[in-house]
Amino acid sequence: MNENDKILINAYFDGETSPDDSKYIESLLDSNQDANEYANKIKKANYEINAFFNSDDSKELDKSISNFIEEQKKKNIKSKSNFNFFNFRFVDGVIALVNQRVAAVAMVFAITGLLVIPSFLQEDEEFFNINIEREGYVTKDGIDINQIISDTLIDMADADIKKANLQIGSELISISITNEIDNCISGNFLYINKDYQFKSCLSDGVYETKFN
Amino acid sequence: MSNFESILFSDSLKMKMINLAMSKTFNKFDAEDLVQQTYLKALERQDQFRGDKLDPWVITILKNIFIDSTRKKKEDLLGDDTPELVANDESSSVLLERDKDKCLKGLSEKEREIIALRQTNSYDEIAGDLDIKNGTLRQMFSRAKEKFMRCMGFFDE
Repeated sequence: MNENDKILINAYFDGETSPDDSKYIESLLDSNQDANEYANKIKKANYEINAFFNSDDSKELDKSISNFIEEQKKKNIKSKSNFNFFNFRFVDGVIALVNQRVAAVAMVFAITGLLVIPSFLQEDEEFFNINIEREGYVTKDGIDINQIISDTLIDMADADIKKANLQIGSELISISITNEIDNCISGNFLYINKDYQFKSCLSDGVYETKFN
Repeated sequence: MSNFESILFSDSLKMKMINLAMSKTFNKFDAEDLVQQTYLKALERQDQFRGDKLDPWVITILKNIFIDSTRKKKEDLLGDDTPELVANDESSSVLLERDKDKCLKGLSEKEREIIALRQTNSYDEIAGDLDIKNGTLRQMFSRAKEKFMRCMGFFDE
């Protein structure tokens, strides 16, 4: 029995030999005592190794990792539901366009005072509007600008947009994403002639935004 | 669920990661940490994944996290004067388990990786995941098993 025979015997018990090699090994095991003893040792080694990987610890580990995966799937679904804002705005925009764009936008503008114009769409002069009451941006203290910015940042990150303009009443907010590191984006936005910094990081599947 | 997530969360990749983690840590708690960190890192860096095969990419992440944590543990242990506990009156089955662990630990990292991956995968798949040739893999398997058998005393009988 040579080194190649040992390799083939090992592969044979792993079910990884060709039909010809299998025939060769079977006849070798019938005729060669050393090969037969070696094969028995391989079987014993395989048994011990399999026992290690199929231990109770491994089974418990499998269970806990399966639970972990389920949690991650739920978190990812939750995280993605936060990304629907852009789609909503897009659909509303299309509806506004279909219903005679200028009149529809002007009417919504008059009611809500808020007009959102992503800069990447300005070339086509398509206007997108949102109903800030329906979206929950009106609080007892007024319009929640931080929340609007936070949601827009998520949209921008999702659509890979670095710059966007939001028009709220007579104010124009220019948002720029200047840095993307790992799971964080940062940059600045101009609102009422003041420059604000932001940093938005993905944590546990949800974006958290801080402003300076 | 995206295509990336369906492959990442597949049973086959999960079992690869569990077996690899057990073969590296020999401890279900450390293995659990290692696998969970690998999943989180893979999700966090999914934008950086370039290629058509996710498994080798995820396996590399797992190996790197393990190397980092081992390095950190070594640094933490420097200057630690805590004496090692010595167990007495161990049953023969416990001793056999320890022998098995010791003999698996005696293999090289690569040898343990191929043995761990063999639990659920064919030679061709392992060769692809670890970027080695099938022929080399067969040789490595044979040598690793022989090393394990010698350590376990199978040739002393």
